[in-house]
Amino acid sequence: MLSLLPQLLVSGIAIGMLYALIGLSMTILYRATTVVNFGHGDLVMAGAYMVLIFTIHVSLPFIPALLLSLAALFGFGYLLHRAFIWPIIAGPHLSLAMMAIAIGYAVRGLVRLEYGSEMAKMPRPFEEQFFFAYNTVMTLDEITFCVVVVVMLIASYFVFSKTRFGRIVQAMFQTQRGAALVGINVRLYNNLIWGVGCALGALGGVMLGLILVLDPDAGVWTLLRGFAAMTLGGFGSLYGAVIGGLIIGVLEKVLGTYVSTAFIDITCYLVIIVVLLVRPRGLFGQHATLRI
Amino acid sequence: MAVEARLRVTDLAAGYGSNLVLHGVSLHVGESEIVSLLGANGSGKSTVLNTISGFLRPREGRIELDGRSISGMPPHKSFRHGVVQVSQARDLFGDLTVEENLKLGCIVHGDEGLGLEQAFAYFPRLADRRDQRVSTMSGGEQQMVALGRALMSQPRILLLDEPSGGLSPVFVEEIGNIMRRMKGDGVTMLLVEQNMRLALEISDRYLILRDGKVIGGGATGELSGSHDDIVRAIYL
Repeated sequence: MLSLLPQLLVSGIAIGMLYALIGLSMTILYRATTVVNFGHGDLVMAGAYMVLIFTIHVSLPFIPALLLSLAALFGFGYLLHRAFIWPIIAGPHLSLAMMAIAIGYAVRGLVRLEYGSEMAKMPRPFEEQFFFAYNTVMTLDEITFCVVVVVMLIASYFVFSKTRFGRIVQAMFQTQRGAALVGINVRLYNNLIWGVGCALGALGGVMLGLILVLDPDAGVWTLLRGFAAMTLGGFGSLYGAVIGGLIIGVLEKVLGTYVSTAFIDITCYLVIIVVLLVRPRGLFGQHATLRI
Repeated sequence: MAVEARLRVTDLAAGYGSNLVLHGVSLHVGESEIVSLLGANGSGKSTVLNTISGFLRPREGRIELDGRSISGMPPHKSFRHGVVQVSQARDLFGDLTVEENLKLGCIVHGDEGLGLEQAFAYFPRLADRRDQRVSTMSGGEQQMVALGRALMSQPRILLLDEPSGGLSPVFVEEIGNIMRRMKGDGVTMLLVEQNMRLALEISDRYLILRDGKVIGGGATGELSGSHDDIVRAIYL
């Protein structure tokens, strides 16, 4: 049985990369606005459905369809924050959570208008290939996940720690009123960050579309894994979200193989429960409180 | 004919939700002048500052900076015109260092502002702690960071909300010295301060606010040693 372990680690890290990307996109939203977007899973899946629409219905090649999809989700995230989140930002936390959930369900409803509850398959940009090394196999999809997430993580680190934009977002994460006191247009930057977070989540959705059939209800599945990655890594920590996603990916595979296949579905719930009880700030988070 | 003023507020009405706090406040602050707003808790002093800096929209009235209307501008726009507020809560970036906080004070001006070394000249105590996280500092030191951050953008007018509030006597004295130096350098200020001795010593003029209305005021130089009349006007 132990001979399976290297393969489980490789597969776990690969799927964990996807969770990491979704967790990373949620963390970016949280860093700017200290709001956890509970509708994020549906926006992630919307990214994959947009590619489906652009490739099947508009007959665009995959890469232009992907870029258009990311642009559309950026615009959607920007407008979503401007029109629905910002007007109630000073209200109770529960209102923000309910608004995010309601928008997620509305997006899911829109997908159902076109696809019903039918599952759909996103066209592939390349043929699947397999690579063997040291008694493990890795697919081209898995290698793609790893490369994309590492690139996104490096880009995020650079943007958030080395640029003026990043310093402003960092300031807003500390105190939005303080940011306004030094002349930062807090609303504009919040809008932009929601756009970036949604586009990044959509990229995760598109990659998920490579390995899963698309289902309008899959938003819950993605949300929970992204949220678990964010919780384990620590709210607000970019690299924490990535490491959290990787750990959850590996745990799912290992527990699902050695204990019971049921653990594939419940690992993320268990992680959320244990972390919130034992170490609420996660592995790398600095703030124990959050706006939901 | 109206006196040329750096800041002029005319018939200002503002409040929170259905609660109107200011009822026709008028005041002006000349260039390099320091004006203190005195009043009891709830008289509307902080509301005046929050409305001028754009955190509250005026219901009525007019706010002008150097003759140009800034009424109803959001905070980031009034900041770019040179209206800079130091809030009562300070609203510092607690997990960032002193130096990072100061640099953020002029980030929207492309980091061109007072300059770090000039800021540290005002606050030598901070120069030694430039790499310290602000959340680990005392209240007095945090107040210095808040003042320094505000000065970094070289404001046309500084709105100070209770700069000595909650500080130990030693720090009140130190903040007082810094404000005297700022006065000497010609920094224009509208000051809200509960410490009447400090406020009247620093200011050129004072205004008394009660129930959202200006009910009196005058030049601090014309005051006799006793401030009993002012205290009576504020509280009785």
